[in-house]
Formats: sequence, structure tokens, C-alpha cells
Amino acid sequence: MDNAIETLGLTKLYGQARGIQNLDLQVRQGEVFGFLGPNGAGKTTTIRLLLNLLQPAHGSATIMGMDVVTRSVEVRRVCGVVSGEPAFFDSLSGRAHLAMMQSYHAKGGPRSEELAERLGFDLDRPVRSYSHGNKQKLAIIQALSHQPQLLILDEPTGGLDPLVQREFYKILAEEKARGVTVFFSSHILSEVERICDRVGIIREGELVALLDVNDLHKQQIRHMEVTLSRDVDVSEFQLEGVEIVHCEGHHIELKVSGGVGALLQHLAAIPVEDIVFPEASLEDTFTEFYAGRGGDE
Amino acid sequence: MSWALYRNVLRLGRMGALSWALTLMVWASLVIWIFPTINEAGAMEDYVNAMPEAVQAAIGVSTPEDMAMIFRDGGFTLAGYVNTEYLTWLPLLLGVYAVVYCGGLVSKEAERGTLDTLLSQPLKRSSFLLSKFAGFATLVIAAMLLSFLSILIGSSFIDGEIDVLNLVAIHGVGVLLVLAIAGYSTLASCLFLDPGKSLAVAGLATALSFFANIAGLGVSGLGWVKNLSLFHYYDSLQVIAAGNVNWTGVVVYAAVLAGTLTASWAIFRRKDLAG
Repeated sequence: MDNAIETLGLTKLYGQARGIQNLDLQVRQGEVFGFLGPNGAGKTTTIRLLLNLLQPAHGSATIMGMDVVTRSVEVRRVCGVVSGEPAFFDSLSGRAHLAMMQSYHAKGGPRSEELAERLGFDLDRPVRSYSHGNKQKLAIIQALSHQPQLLILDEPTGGLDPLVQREFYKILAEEKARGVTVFFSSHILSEVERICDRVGIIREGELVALLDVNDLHKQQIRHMEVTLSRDVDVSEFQLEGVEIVHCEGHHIELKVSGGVGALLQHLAAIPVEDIVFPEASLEDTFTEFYAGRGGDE
Repeated sequence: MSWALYRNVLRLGRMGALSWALTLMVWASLVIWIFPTINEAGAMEDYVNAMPEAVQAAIGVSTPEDMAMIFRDGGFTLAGYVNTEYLTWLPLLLGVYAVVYCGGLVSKEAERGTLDTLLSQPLKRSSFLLSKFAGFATLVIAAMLLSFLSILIGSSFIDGEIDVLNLVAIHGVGVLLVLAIAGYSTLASCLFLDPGKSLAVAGLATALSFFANIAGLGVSGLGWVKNLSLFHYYDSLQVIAAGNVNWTGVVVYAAVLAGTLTASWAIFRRKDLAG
């Protein structure tokens, strides 16, 4: 199968500070690829290199077999892009802005109406009157309306309410069914887990892991705080995948990796007053990867 | 060339261009309107003769030959008066427009984030530059056209003559001078993606050029300095009063325009857009 995106030793340095270093990445055609990393890891740098907004120091990258530097215009013709901080021409209406962007593509236009309706977006107001969430919707419509072969999405759900986010995920699923490749950059683990087939994890400019999303789920570390109505008996929490962090009186803090089914079944059988179980922290997951690969923290 | 971007430049820039054009029209019309009153007051030749050399140079009077073109029979000629009060200053005023607009041609788009939006589309960087610059050039030409028409129509209502072809010629040279200023302002905008820096550099270059011409004409020992100034080749009095276009100046302006736009493209095509 041909790769939609392929990078070979791709490097960008910012003086003493590292951008990305020796990035070797292959994104298969038709897959939804999650590009995960904390802020400043190099996700946006990678995307900007792919779009030829930045020049690489070393290495190369291709999209659909086309070099991103020497054939950058053709590359961008097949891409739909949602950037991390979308910007628009404030004095134009959403519709006029889209018309201007679509003039650069051979296809596009009719989908705008359908997408605007699905996302609950008014095309006829001036851009300057849009909230952050509405600007994000405009960016999504702009990226999708010319039916690209590759979607490059840099944190596309920022500012979207949960209902719109759900609709957006449905749209992505439809794009995937059409054979569109999606390169999805995010720092939200749960989002990546939900929609991606494979995940690349970048940290401090280097790709530290490349794995199926199921393997990612198994590797996640989550923190749980349990408050019982009686003193905690630590022997009750000697379960696989569960590590006791701290225990005092009625309160116990746990680190949980992998599935939580067995733990939840156990908790159902004891007098629990409260459970705090936030989403997996990206930093904790990275720490796990980094430690697992023998790196220092 | 992106016609969509070109049209957008005209659409977004029309109010600014209209403001500049209206300013020119009002100014030109006022100058023409008060010409009869100024001439009736008399003693203008003595007044100009009494000015310091540097001030004389600033209003386009450097030599006795210049005085002969401006004054006749004890009063201003219309062409001389319009030159002194308006045409001498016209490219400086529109030069400020060029600095403000083209000094931010790339840098302001970069600051707003719309540069990323545009260059994430299949749009060549050269098309972006050309479309934006062509849009500005169109606005400048439109403003100059209104200036020309204001003087032409205004002068038809008063006693005085201005040669139409000379008026066309000086506005044409003026357009080239303003576009040369726009050229190096665009270069500054490509070099510095920070509008504060690019506007400061373009503004400083224009101010230095203007004052170099005055210093070279009015300060002894500094005559060579005027040759470094773009304004030196404008020579509006020779054009409007005698039809003598400084073709060296036309070549200089065309060369500066072509050179700076080429340099702008060479720098911008590989410029990192950090976002």
C-alpha cells in the first residue's frame, strides 16, 4: 500500500532549540493517524514542514508521492488543512471567505452548505463576529469543502462544544470511508483513542513511539482516588495493573494501567463513597513510554 | 497571479485608497482654487527668493532656471505654482501610503495569521506577492488618476495654462516613484515578518531618501548625496513646465522596482513562516 505521508530523517532546528529531529514517519493511505504530543513537542513544526511553511534543515518528506518542497503547490492541492490557530479575513462573510479559498481548488463549493448545516454554522455573518468555536467550524468547512485526499488537522476540535465534536467525528468517519487519509494532531488522548487507527507519539522533537490505538490504550496510566466509608485495607487493592500510590484512612490513591474492568468490579463490592477518575494524562503516558524505552525522566 | 487574491486586495483596500485619493483631490482643488488670490497678492517671487536654499530645494526651486519656470511677469505661472504647492509633495504623500501598505504586505498577513491560511492553499508564494503588489499598484494608479483629473478640471476654471501631456507625464513618473518606494517597502516586509520592524525600515529609508535630496540640493559640500535619493530623479518642475522627462530617473525607478521585487521573491520563497 502506498503511503500518504512519508518522512525520512526530517529535521528542523531553531538555533539551540530543537524543532524536530530525524523524523521517520509513514502514514498509510486511508488511515486515520494520530500525532500525539505535549505542547512544544514538535507536532505543529511537523505539519508546517509538510505544508512547506517551514524549510527543513535535513531530510525529506512526501505527500502522495510528491516532494513537499519541490512540488508544494501540488501537495497543497490534495490537502485540506485545519491549522492550530485558524485565521481569516475579518471583513468578509464566512461564505465570501470560503469562496475565495475555494477559488484555488478545481473542486469545491457545494459541500460547504451541507457541512455548515451539520455543524450549525451561519455562513453569512462577517468573520469578525464569529466566536472561537465558530471560527473553528469555518476552518473545518474550509478544509473539507474541496474534497481533499489528505486531511491535516492540527487540534481541530478546540473550542467546539460536545455535540459539534460528535458531529465532527462522524464527518471524519465518513471521510475515512471515502478513502481519505487523516493526519490528526492532538494533545488529547481520549480524542485520539476514539478516532485513530494508529498513533505516533512525539516528544521533544523525536518520535518516541508508533503503535496501534489498542496498544496505546493498554499502555495508558490513569490516576484514581477512592474514598471509602471505612478505613482502607490495602490488601483489597492488590490487583493486576493497579499500583498503590498513597493510602491514608478512608482514602487511597491508585495508578491504573490497561483495562479497568476488574478494578471497577472490585469497587462495586466494597463501600465506596467517592471516586475521582480523570482522563489519562498525556504526561503520565509519556513517562511510561520513556521509562519503558530506558530513557531518563 | 491569483485573481481572487487581487480582487480581495482591491476590495479590502478600497476605503484606504479612497481616503488617500479624496485627500489628493481636495488638496489639488484647493491649490488651484487659491491660485488667483495668491497671484493677486504679489511679491511671491521676492518671498521665494528670500527662503533658505534648503527650503527652496524642498519646494523644487534650486536654480535661477527653476525660478524662470515658476515665475513670469512678477507672478506664478500656474504650472510653477501647482508644482511648488502640490506636485513636489505628491510622491512623498503617496510614498507614505506605499510604506504603510507595502511595508506590511507580507508582515501584516503573517501577524494576522492569514498568510498561513493563504499559503495552505495551492497558491504559489510568487503569485501571492504579485497579486498583492498588483492590487496596491492598481490603487495607486487610481489615486494618481483622480489627482490628474482634479488638476485638469480645476485648471479649466481659472486663468492659467497647464500642458495636459506634461501633466500626464509627471503623474506617470510619480506612479513609478511611488511604486519604487513600494518595491523596497515590500522587500522590508519580506525580510522582517514583524510589521513593526518592516514599517520602521521602509519608513526610515523613505525619510532618508527625501532628506538626502534636500540636503544635496541645499547644503554646500553635500551635492553628491542627492544622487542617492529616489526623489532627486522626480524633477517635477522640468516635466510640468517644460515637458522634460528625466529618463534616467524613469530607468532608475524601473530598476529599483524590478530589483526590489525580484529580491522580495527570492527572500520570500524560502522564508520560514513560523506562525
